[in-house]
Amino acid sequence: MAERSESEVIVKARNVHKSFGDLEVLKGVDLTVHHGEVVVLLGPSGSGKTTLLRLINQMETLTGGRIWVDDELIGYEERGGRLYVRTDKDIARQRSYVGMVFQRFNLFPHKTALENITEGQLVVTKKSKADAIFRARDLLQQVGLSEKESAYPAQLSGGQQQRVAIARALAMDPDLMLFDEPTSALDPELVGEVLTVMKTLASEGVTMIVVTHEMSFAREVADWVVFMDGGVIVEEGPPAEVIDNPKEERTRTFLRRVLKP
Amino acid sequence: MSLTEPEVPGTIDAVPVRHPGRVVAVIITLVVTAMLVHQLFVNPAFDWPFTFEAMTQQPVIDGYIKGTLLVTVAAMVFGVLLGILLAVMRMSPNFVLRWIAGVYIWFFRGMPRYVLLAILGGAGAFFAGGLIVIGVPYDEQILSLLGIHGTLRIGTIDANVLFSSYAGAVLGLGLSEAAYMAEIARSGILSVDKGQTEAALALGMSRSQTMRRIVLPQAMRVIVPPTGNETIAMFKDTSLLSALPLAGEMYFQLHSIGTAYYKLVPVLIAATIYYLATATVMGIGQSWLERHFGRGYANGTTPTRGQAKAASATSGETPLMFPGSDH
Repeated sequence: MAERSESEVIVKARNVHKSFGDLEVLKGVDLTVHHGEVVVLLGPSGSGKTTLLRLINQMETLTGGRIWVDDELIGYEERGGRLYVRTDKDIARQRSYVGMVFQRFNLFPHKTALENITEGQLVVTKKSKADAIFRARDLLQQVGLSEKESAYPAQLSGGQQQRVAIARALAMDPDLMLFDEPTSALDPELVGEVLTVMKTLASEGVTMIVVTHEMSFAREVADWVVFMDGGVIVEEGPPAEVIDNPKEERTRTFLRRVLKP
Repeated sequence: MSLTEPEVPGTIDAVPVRHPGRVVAVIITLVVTAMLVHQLFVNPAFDWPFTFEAMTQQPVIDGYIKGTLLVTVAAMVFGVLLGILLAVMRMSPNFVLRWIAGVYIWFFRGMPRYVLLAILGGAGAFFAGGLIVIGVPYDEQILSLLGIHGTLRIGTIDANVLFSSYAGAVLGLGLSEAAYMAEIARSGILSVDKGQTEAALALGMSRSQTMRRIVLPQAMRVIVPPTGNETIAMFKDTSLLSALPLAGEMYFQLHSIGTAYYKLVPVLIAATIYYLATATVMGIGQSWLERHFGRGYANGTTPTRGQAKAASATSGETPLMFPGSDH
């Protein structure tokens, strides 16, 4: 195995299981993400990669296994050898440490770009309005949308909406950013602007877990690539190993399909 | 170029298709309308001076302000608040709460308001001596378990007085309205894309913050149009309060004048004028509210799936998904 970052662990998932009714989507997954790392989850649809991402931010509840974020067990608390379900308030606090970017952007349509970015700061972190607006303008500039601060989401292109959504998540100063197929709903000519923002974040040392089919992004930006299929991790390692020199037949089959020129 | 092409004019001057059927329809409609308008002036049954005199009687004006307008506002406030509570109960993870809300809605949607008000007017019969006793439930039983004989009671209210007052009117109409508002509020909340809740929760917002700041403001776009219809229907339904009976209400007062003077048509016309004028003003208020809650949706270039769904739900005047707006 290639050498891997030795920095502090942000996410530790062990023996993670998730079922929806009779359908078992995750069948015992282990994942470790270190501070400052970009981890890309690859795999065919239905492989469980989006479910794994949503479990980390408690959009779904675990069926089995444990996940720690920042050394804190998520969803449950362990006291005297027993697990206690966390209160809604505690779960909300844990979620506020993790930023999430969705495939369908999910911007608040009744709020302007600026208001979308100030909302969490005002309601969750209780910042002053002036501070929240200052931070929001700074973030809008980072994603190249300063002139769009008073536009409503419906007046923005898909790429612009996704960049506002990234700014909205960053405004909470998360320890970790999750990206769930952030470019899959975009027209091809708009994919580049979102990937550029994500590359900048990666170069600034933001810890990221990205579910994507953009192989060039994975190869260029990822520190660690995880290939999943059928609810298990088939193979993981640096992109030079997993993408350019895969050991497993299932990985090779998948890559042949997505990399076909 | 030797042969010159005919010059093509920049404007089109063509003979339109004739629609003789449409012309006939217009003529018939105009004739019928003219007959009706003519009747307004020449038919002696329209006793206009009497109509206007009836409209300006003090009890009628008082009845309009208190019995019609104030009861409408109070019953709607009561109905909307109870309706939202019922909608939340209907979506509760708890089976008992869901079931109770379901039974409530089933009962009050099935009850005609006139019958409901008549029952409420006679509800004194359900209370011993026509008195409603206020105190701790099952007080005698609880105290006897402790070995004490006695009661824990604060006071009594005369049921017959209560139910045939404005309070009874608001109670009767509001209880009925809550059942319809519950379904309207529920479909409004369900019309908001699930991704909106997820995005808000992902920021670390609590369930109630998410509901108040993200879901309800968007649900309002779906909730406001049928609620406006409900308000207009409610204000018309105040004429049913004679079933209680509530004397301090406009229609009751106008009807009394009509029977006393044997001039029923003029007072009915007087009521019509009041109702139509009020409905017109309410309609204007409603379109203002719809514009207010439609912020961020006008001139949409790339609406998300959720927006498109919500927009299609409000495009019709009264969406079919609201069985509550049909009375």
